[in-house]
Amino acid sequence: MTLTTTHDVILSDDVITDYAIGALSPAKHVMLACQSEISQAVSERVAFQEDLAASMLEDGSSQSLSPLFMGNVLANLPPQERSDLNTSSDPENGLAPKSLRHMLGHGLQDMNWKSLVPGVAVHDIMGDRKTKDGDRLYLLKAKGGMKMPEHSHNGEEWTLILTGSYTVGEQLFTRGDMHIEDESETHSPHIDEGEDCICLVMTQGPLKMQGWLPKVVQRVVGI
Amino acid sequence: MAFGLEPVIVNTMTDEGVKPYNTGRKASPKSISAAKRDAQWLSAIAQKQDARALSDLFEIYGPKLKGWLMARGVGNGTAEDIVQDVMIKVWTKAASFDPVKASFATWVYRMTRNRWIDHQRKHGRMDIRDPELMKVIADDEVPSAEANFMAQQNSDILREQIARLTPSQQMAIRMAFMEYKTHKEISAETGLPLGTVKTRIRSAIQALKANMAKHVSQIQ
Repeated sequence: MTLTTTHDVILSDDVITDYAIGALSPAKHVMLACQSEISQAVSERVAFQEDLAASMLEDGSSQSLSPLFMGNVLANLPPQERSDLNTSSDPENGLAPKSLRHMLGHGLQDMNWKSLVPGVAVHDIMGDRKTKDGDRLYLLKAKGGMKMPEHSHNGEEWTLILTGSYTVGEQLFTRGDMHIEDESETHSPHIDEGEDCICLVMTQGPLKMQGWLPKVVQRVVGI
Repeated sequence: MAFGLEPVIVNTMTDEGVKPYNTGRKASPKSISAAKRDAQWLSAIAQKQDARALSDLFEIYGPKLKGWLMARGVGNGTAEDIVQDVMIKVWTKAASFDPVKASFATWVYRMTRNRWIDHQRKHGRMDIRDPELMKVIADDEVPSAEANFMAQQNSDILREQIARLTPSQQMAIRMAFMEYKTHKEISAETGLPLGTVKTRIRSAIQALKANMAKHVSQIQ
């Protein structure tokens, strides 16, 4: 039997707290911002802790604005936006959360994918996948039916599923689910048949591939 | 200040200028909910292009947001740049503000935090914290249940509910939300195991959620 995750089952309150107070790295912050746009359950948990963080503004220290601040801003106000301009009618666009489109400058349909191996392509967003440290954020697209090579990680790997689905062991991950793995786990996701699976991925170090062939491929393509 | 120690609760009722908690009396003009006041300003900005309302909002929130940023190690100039960007965004996006979804305080806080994360993304992550400043924040007194309370304002309800938590739960919330400490840092500072720190913060948040739910069901 396949178990279905319920979007936020893996995400602990600690992560939500760090998100609310702005303590996550930019890459993780974007991941969670995207997830809370897709998942109602996560967005409610986030909203609660954001209210909490905002209410703490009252207790925090104030810093006066410089005397010219207000005049400068008021003298240079741009025209206002109409509220109805924000809604996009393009269904393809809707698949990419707004926080992601903000960084890409476009939706998922205008991607410039770089092929890694047949059936798998990536698009880098932040950081360099080949460097040793620092969070890296990229989109990964895998063809339906593919089995990804078995691997573990240096550091954490966060995967937010945007389209399609995949299975690891008995667990199914689908749109809106955040899959978090640390370096102790080895896994080999199986992309479900049909739709391409597009994920937003954050990794903190090079993946550790099992087996010689994936290792060679990794050295060549870098992931 | 140790994480597990009970902080001294200062009774703010006796402090000058702080009125005792008022139940059900006719509201004075001053106690009109801040959230309602903010929403009125927002609609004046959106519907009448009222720049005065914008400056009124930022007379109140600007220094708080700047203080929030500077407490996280952001320099004076950058902090003002971020507040300026946020103020302009409040102006341009005023029409999309929905008071049903979030209070203005939460909306503007979220914009500021996201703008700051954006800044870190573009300029590299900063990790400068002024130890003196941290000390000042840490030595702040914990607000007591009698502290200012305005019934309709979400943040005041939250603050009141925080004051009802046990002292160690209050400390957990304050360390995580106000002092911008990661779980690892709190653990190092207090000597408590990481797991315990996580459990305390999580249980404080759970207790707060339960109190809030109770409060909401009482007023309905």
